[in-house]
Amino acid sequence: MKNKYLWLFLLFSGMFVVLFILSMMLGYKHFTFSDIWQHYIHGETIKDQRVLTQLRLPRAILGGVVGVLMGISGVMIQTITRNPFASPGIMGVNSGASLMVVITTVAFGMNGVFQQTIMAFIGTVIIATLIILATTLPFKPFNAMELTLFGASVSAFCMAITQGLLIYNESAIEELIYWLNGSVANKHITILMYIWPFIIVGLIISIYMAKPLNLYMLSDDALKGLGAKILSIKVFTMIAVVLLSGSAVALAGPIAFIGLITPHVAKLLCKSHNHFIVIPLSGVLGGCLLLLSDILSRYLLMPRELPVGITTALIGAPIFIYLILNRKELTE
Amino acid sequence: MKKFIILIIMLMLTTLLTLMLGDSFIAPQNVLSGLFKLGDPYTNLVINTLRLPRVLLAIVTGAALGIAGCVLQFITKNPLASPDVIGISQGANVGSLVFLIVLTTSTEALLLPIAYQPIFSMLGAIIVTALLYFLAMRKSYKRDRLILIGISFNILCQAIVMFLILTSNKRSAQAQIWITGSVHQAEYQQVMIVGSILFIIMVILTYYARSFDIHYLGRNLSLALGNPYQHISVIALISMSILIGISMSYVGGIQFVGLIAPHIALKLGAHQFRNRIFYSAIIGAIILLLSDLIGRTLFLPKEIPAGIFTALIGSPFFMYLLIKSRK
Repeated sequence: MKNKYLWLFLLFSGMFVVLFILSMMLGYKHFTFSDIWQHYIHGETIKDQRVLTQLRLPRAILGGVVGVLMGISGVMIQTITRNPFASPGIMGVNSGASLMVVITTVAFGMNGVFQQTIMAFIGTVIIATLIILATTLPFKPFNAMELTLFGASVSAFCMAITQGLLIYNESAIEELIYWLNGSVANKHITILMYIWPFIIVGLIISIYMAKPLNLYMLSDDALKGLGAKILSIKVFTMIAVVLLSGSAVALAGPIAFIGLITPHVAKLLCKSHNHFIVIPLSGVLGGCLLLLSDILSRYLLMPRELPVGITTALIGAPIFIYLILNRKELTE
Repeated sequence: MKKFIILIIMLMLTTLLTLMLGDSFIAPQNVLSGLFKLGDPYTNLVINTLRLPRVLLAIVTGAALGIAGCVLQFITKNPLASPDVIGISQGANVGSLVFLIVLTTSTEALLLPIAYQPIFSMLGAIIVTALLYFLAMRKSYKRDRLILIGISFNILCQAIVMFLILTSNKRSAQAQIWITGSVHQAEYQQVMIVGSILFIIMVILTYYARSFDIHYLGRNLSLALGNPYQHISVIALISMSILIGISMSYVGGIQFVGLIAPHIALKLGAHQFRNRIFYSAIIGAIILLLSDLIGRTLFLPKEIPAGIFTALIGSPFFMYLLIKSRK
């Protein structure tokens, strides 16, 4: 039985690697596989190698990392809220990051990569903590509709301030429009250097939480009967979710639907709810999905590029609707 | 009836206030003489050409949005339903942008005259509404399902809007302002169009007012009473989409007016459908007038679109409703 899951995981890891290499090869300027092989394995100089090393490689790495983070945080938040339609994006977390970035750019004139990344991270952490506290701590947890509506109104509020600031300073719009729609292009790999400690901590917590989360699928009463520490499970999972989704947003800006869809696909593929399997599988799937969307967004508007957040929304929304239509508790 | 008269008086006072305030202050008696073109040329110009069309457009679109929200909440029996949350307004935006960006010649000139824009906006709203109707309301109506599907339509349409903006060479900043919603480009012709559509739809809705009241009792009871349940739903949804489409195409995405107005109407004791749409219309008009007033005076010389203020007031109000409805 274990073998089946291992094979599934290896299969999608293989796909991840293939998409990673494709992400380096494809685009306005094509590279062949042998170009990449010669450059990275044999250390030979190739034509236009700056495009490869300065643009494509950082982009592929960021895309992969961000996708993995979103996939993992999606699984954890869906379990902890007991809500199949929860995801950091749909709960309005992304809008906090956008607001913070626009505030720092417009009000303080700071538009360096470092400031933007750190501010986006801080913004996400603040707003995510508030939202998660508001939606998971009450005695009666939010159901799917309430959670989604709450997220939508938080987004609307942050968006209003964001847009007000952008109108106040029109020149910032052109500068930020790609950031505000989520993109992994044209980012410097050094931003990963600022963020990686948070990612590592988040990942370690999520590994430790896999077992408690398996228990958490029981009802609260059953958990109490088993002597599980409900509060500590909630708190640690939330910390992991905040760190992981905060890092993802800081690296790539608001990207919707990946954290929402991949847990469903992962559970569908492995037909299991065991978090030791679902968490890594969902992570790998998230990476695959984001790399794929990023490749697509290079071609949809050739020669221009689309922010990858728009591509994921265009792909993700119909899948989301399909998932809702197939929920038994929502159809009767 | 007394409350209704008070509301009308409030609307008139707000209108007077918005005509007075702005870049320059105009005293109330001068406003009145300016309205009838009896004042000095400067006052006549400011009142008749600059402020009045804008104020009138705010009134008619505010009323249209209030009615649309009221009808939607009545039909879905859900106090949290709002045309801008479940994607209908964004659908209208997609329609407008398709007209402005896709239906152009290679030299970026429009294929059809600009007057046709509202039709595409309405089409966009109607398409989203029809999809929602067929996916979540036709066979069996489930509140949560409608909202969840609506929100995904909202996100999908937002993505399409951004996609369309990025495909065009027109300035994205301009599009951004238009999407946020503002009444600053008002013309008398627009007021006439929105006003006449508003009038026709009000007549239709008051004609069916009793059927709406019965509709509210639920499918089984209203069928037992011989009330055409689906029929009324479809009439309501079509009128709502038309109102949303027309107001979106002229003022862009003004959010949350359609959500707040019916709630205040309900608080004022308008339980019957007929009362509620009239109350919502007036309250919607007042909200939009005030938001526009704040937007054009508070940060002079910059103008902030009215949509930002409606969203800033509307979204906390929405969260409050959400928390309250859980008890």
